[in-house]
Amino acid sequence: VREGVEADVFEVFARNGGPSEPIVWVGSVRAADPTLAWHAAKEIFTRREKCTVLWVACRAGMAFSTSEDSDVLGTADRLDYRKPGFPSRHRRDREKAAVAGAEEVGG
Amino acid sequence: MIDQQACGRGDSDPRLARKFELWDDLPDGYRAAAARIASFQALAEVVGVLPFAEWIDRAPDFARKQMLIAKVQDEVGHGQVTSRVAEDLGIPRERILTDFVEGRTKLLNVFHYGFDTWEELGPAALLMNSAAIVQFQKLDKGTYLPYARALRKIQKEESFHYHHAMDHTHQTMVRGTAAQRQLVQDAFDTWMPRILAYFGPPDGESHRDSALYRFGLKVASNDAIRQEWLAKIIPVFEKLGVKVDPGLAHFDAESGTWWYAAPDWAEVKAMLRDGGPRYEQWRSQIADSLERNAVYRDVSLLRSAA
Repeated sequence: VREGVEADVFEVFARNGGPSEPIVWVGSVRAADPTLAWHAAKEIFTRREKCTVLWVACRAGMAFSTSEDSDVLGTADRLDYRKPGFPSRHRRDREKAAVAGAEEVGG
Repeated sequence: MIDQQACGRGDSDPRLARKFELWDDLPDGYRAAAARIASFQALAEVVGVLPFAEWIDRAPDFARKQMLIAKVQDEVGHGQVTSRVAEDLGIPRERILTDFVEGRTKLLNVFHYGFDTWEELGPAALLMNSAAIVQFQKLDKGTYLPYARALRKIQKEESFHYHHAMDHTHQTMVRGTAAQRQLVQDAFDTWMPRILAYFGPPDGESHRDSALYRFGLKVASNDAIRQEWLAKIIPVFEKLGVKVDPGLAHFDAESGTWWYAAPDWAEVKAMLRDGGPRYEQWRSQIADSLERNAVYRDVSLLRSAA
């Protein structure tokens, strides 16, 4: 993780479209304070879009992942018990075992 | 034929496989190369508006004036977005402009000119925009992700400029007088060689050795982009009723490529060195603007200066 240092750089986040759309990062601007940054962001990033939410955040107040964090971030390969396939597999195994058990008893 | 790799297509190109974010460890020389390409574009965006901006108060109708103002604002925004990419790599935006004003960076050939008539502006902009779009569509597959993202934002707006230029040219060709249509034809004949030169010298033995190309910052070769552009834009002008002299460009069925009149590269180089017809005007306009707006810049960045 890397902490941002630039006090005059603001990361810009926007929601383009309806209320259920995610608010996503769109770029950055350089300005002395958040209000000036917001106005710069409005001029630069909302020229054609149907923008409904616009936020700016000072980079000096943010923390950023770096390439070294990819192991920590990529949980898909490590934590398979968090995925729906994990319990489903258990259930299928149990069902298969039950069928096999029934055949044995019946046979 | 143009090979696939020269076009920067597909995942098969090993140069483009590894991508980089801002704070990743970058290979030696990569940071400087990425900063160069971003700051070069930032300068082009800002200087590139000047030939258009001077037509804002001459535009013959209100809708055109509005569209022209929107285009100029868009381009300045592109300058902001690309200078942010350069700034994060260590080149402050002030330096991008002072390096130009003080003669340390060169302008692309197309920005050494201006438009002499309103009729010239449409076709010239159409040629320039289509060239930029083809170029950006390649560059956004490049390995430096912040730059690639900036280009994707820029492309959306370039498409508006393309349609504006197309409409402007169409209006002259359909509603204009014979004299006005001739001005469109003249503009095409004048600007076509300039754009052909804009894509840079033909691919040589060594074009793959350049740092920008090796790093996958430059995605496709000059010839590959130029060919793709010719295939797109020549039919557009023909459809508008502009005559394309085969001595300027034509499709060669035998080789499957576009033949074009090779620019006089010595002449192009000399102009880049000595400055074209409007170079000094654009340079001094940027210099004056830097000086005139210094106080506003200081105020608006007061906190960072403190």
